[in-house]
Amino acid sequence: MTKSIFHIDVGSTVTEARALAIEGGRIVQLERVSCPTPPPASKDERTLGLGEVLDVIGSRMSEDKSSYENEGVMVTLSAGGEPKAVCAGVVKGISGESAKRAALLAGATVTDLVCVDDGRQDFERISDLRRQDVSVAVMAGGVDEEIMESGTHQILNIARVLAKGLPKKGWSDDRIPLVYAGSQEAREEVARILGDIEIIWADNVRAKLEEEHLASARDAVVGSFSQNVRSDPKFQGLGKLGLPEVFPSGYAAGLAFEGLYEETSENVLGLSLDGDAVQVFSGIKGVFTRTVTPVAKVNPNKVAKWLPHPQMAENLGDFIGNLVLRPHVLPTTWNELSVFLAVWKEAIREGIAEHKATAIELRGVHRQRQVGETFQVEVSGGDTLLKMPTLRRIVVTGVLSRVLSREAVLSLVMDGAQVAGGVGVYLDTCNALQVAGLLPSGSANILESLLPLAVLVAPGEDRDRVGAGWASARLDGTYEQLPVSMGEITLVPIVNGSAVEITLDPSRQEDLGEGPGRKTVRDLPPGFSRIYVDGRPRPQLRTLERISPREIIGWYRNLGVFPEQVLSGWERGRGQ
Amino acid sequence: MTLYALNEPRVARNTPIVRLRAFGSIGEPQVDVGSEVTWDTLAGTYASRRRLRQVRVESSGEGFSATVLVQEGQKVKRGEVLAYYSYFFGLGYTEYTAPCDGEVVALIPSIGSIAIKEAPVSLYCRLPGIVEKTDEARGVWVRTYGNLVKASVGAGYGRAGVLSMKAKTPSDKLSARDFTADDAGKVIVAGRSVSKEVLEACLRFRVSGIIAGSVSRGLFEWYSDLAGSLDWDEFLARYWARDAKNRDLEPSPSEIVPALVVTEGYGDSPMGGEAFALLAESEGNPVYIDGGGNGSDEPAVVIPLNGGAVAKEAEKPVCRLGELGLGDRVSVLGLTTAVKEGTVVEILPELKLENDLLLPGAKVATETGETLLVPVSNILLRDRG
Repeated sequence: MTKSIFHIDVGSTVTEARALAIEGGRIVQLERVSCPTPPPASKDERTLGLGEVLDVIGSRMSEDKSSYENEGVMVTLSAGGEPKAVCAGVVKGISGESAKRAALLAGATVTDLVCVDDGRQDFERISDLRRQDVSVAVMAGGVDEEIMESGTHQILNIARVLAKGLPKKGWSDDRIPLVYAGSQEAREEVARILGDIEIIWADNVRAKLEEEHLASARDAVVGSFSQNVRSDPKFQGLGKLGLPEVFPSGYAAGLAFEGLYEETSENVLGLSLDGDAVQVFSGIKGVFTRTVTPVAKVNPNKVAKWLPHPQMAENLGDFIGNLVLRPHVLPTTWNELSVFLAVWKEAIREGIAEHKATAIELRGVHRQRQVGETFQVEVSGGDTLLKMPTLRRIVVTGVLSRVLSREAVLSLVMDGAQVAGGVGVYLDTCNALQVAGLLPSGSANILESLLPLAVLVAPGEDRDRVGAGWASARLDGTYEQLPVSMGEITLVPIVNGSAVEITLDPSRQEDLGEGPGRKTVRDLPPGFSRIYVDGRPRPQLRTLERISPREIIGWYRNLGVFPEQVLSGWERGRGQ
Repeated sequence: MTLYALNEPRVARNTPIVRLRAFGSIGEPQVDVGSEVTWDTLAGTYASRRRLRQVRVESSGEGFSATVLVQEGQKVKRGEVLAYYSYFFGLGYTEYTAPCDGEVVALIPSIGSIAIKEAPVSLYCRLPGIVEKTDEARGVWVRTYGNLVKASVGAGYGRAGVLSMKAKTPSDKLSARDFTADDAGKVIVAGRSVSKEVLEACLRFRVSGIIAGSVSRGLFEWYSDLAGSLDWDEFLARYWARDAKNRDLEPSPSEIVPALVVTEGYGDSPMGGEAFALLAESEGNPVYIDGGGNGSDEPAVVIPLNGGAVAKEAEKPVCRLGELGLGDRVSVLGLTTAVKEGTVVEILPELKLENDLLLPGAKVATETGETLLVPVSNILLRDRG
C-alpha cells in the first residue's frame, strides 16, 4: 500500500484539504477539496469548513483510492494573517529589524515595531500596543556582553513599555506571551520588569552585531503559536477535530524554500499569491527572508499603467476597493481579468520592493568602504541581498497560481518580479511546498514536486543593451542564438523538454552574476517546454514611464494571455 | 461534487447583537459589567491621542513677551484666553486661547510655550442593552437585541438618531437640496450612492448618520480622512459657522462627523433590497449607526428592539458555511458589477468562464431574468432552497 498524507491549509480566503502521496520522492496530489474561509472581519470561527473538507476527502479517498494508506494529517494556517506579532527592539535598523525578520520567518504578520527611534512617545507606544489584536510579541536588543555595566540600557526602557503595553489574549485575561531574543546579560532584569508576563527565552538574534541568528526566535514564535492557537475561539475547529500540531503556513513554506536552497545551493525566490496578500520568500547566499505585502497597499495610479485599455482606469479605485473588501471574488470577464492582473502585477512589484528593503545585509556592522564607493550613497550599509541577476529560480505558489492560466501567471512574474538574467519559473500546483517544509528532511524532493513552467531570459537591470548575439542556448545538443527583439517578448519552444544551457553576453558594465560584462551561463534541468526572451528595457519597466496600452497589448499577445479577438478589440478602443 | 459557499446574510432580524463602543485611546470605563445602559449612559472617558497641546506665544528667548494669564495647574476651558500680546503702542493686539478643555501643565518662557493636558472626553453608549465586557484599552461592549443591517464599509464612529427614509427606493440618489436643518440628529437612508455634496450637506446640517448602497473609493477615502481628523474648531470654520460663538455646544470628537455606512461596496450600486426593506420598516425608530472608526467593529446599523433585552423569539445564529444546492437563494458578487440576487438552477463542478478560467461554480437565475455563470467563490448563500 502506498502511503498518503492529508494536508489541510486554512488560508485567508480558502480552506483546502488535499490527499497527497510521495512517489519516488515527488509529492503528487491525489484528491483536493476546498471551501471558503469566513472573512476576518466576522467574529465567527474561521475553521468552520474543516470538518466538511476532511469528511469529503476522507470518503473520496476510501472510495476511489483504496490502495493508499493514510499516514497522517498536517495542518497549516494563515487565516486572518495569523499568527500576528508585535516586535520590539532597541534600534529600528538593527535589533528591531532582526526581531521583525524572525517573526516573519515564523510565518507571522508583523503589526507594529516598537523601538527607541520609532518617533513615538512612551504613552503612544503603550496605547498603540494595548489596542493590537496580536497573539505574540518578539523582543530583541543588545549584544550578549558588557552592555549592562552601567546598570541601564535602552532595552530595559523597551521592556518597561512592553510590560505596560502588551495586550491581553483575545479569549482570556492573560497577556500575550513574549519571545525574548535579546541580550543574555539583560535577561534577569527584563524578567523582573515584565513580571507575570509569560516569557519564552530564545537565543539572542544579534549576539554580536556582525551576526544574526533567527532560528531560535523563529522556533519560539512557532511553538507559542502551535500551543495557543487551539485555545483561540476563532480556531475552535482545530481542537474539536483533534487535529495534530498546527503550523503557520508561511513558516512551512519558508522551511521548504530553505530545503530547496539546500537541495540546489542556488538562489531562489518564492511568490505566494493568495487572496489578499503577496508573500515573498527568498533564499540568497544562505540567508532566508519572508515578507508579506497586502494587496490593499497598491497605488491605483501605478496599476493604471498596466491596463491594456485606458477606459478601464475610470473605476479602478472602486475595483481595487472591492477586491480588498472581498478577496475571494474572482474576475469573470476578460476586462475584469485584465484589471485583476494589473492589480496583482503592481502588488507583486510592491512586494518585491518591500522584500528588497527587508532582505538586507546586516546594519550596524563596521564596514570598510572602497575608494570607488565614495559617491555611492546606497552602499552605506543595509544593501539588499535580492539582486535579480543572482537568482536561479522563481517558484510561484498560492491560491491564485492554481486558478489563473499558466500564461497569466508568467505575465505576473515577468512584469511583477521583473527578472534579469536567466531564471527558471516553477509552479507549485498542489501546495507541495507547505507539505515538503513539514516533512522530515530528505523525505521528499522539493524541486521534483514543482512544475517547471518556463525559462525567462531578460537583460540586466540598468545598462544592458540587448541585440543579436546577446543570448544563446544549447537546445537538444545544438547551440543557437536566441531571437532577441528590443521591446518584445519572444517565445522559443524547447522540444522534448530537454535540459537547457543558456549563455548570456551582457554589455560591458552590466553584471548578470559573473561580474560586469562577463558571459554568464545558466544550466537548467529538463522539464521546461519554453523559453521566453524578454527584450523589454528594464528602466522602462521599473519606472513605468512611457508604457503605452499598445505595448501592454503587444506583450499580452506575445505571451498568449488573452485571445486575439479580445486584444484586437482593445486595440480598436473597445472594451470586451 | 459538493460545493460550499459562505452563508452571509446581510441583514439579521430579532437577533442578539454585541457592539463595541470603542475608546479613541486608553480610557476609563464608567459602567460595570452586567449593568443596564440606555442611549445616553456615559460608557467611559478617554484622553485623545494628542493629550498634550502646545500653545506658542510671543517670547524673547529669555522670557514671555506676551502677558500670560494662567499658571501651572490651572484648569482652562476651550476658547479661554491664555495670554495676550500688545504691540506698536497698543495698536496691535493678539490673543492666545486654549484649543481644548484641560489643565495647564507647563509654562516654558524660553520657547514661549504653554502646555495644556487635554481633559478626557466622554463616550456615550448610544444604544440600550447590558454591558458585557469592559477594557480600558478598547472600550465597552454592549449586548443588545434587535435587527441588524451589515455593511461593507463605513467611516466615522458610533452615533444614534431617528431613522429617516429620504430615498423612496433602493436606487434613488439624493442631492444636497434634499437636506434641511430638520435633519439634524437623524440617521438618513440615502439610497443608491452618495456624492461629496450630499456628505457636505450632512455635515452642515449635523446629521447623525447616512446609510447608502455604495460610494466611490476616492470619495470614501476623503470622508474617512475627514472623520479621523476633523476637530470641532475646524468643523465650525468649515461647516457650522452659526454656532461658532456657542462655546458650550462642543460634542465629543466621535460625534462631530456623521457616521457613513455603505451596504454594498465601492462604485455606484443600489442598496440591497433586503437591507432597504428592513430599514423602511424601522422608519421613525431610534437606531444605532456605527461607521467602524477607532477599530470598533464591522460597520453596521442596529435597530434595537425590546429595549435591548433579548426576547424569547430570538432567532438562532446561522451557520456561516453551507453546501450549495438547487433552489438556494444567493447573492452574486462581482468586481465591477453590482451585487445581484438570484436562485441556483444548476451546480457545475467544472465551469468554464467567459475569460477561460476553469472553476467550480453554478448557474444562477437572477430576479431580472438573467442567467449567470458564477464561480462558487463569487457566491454568498442567503436562503436555503
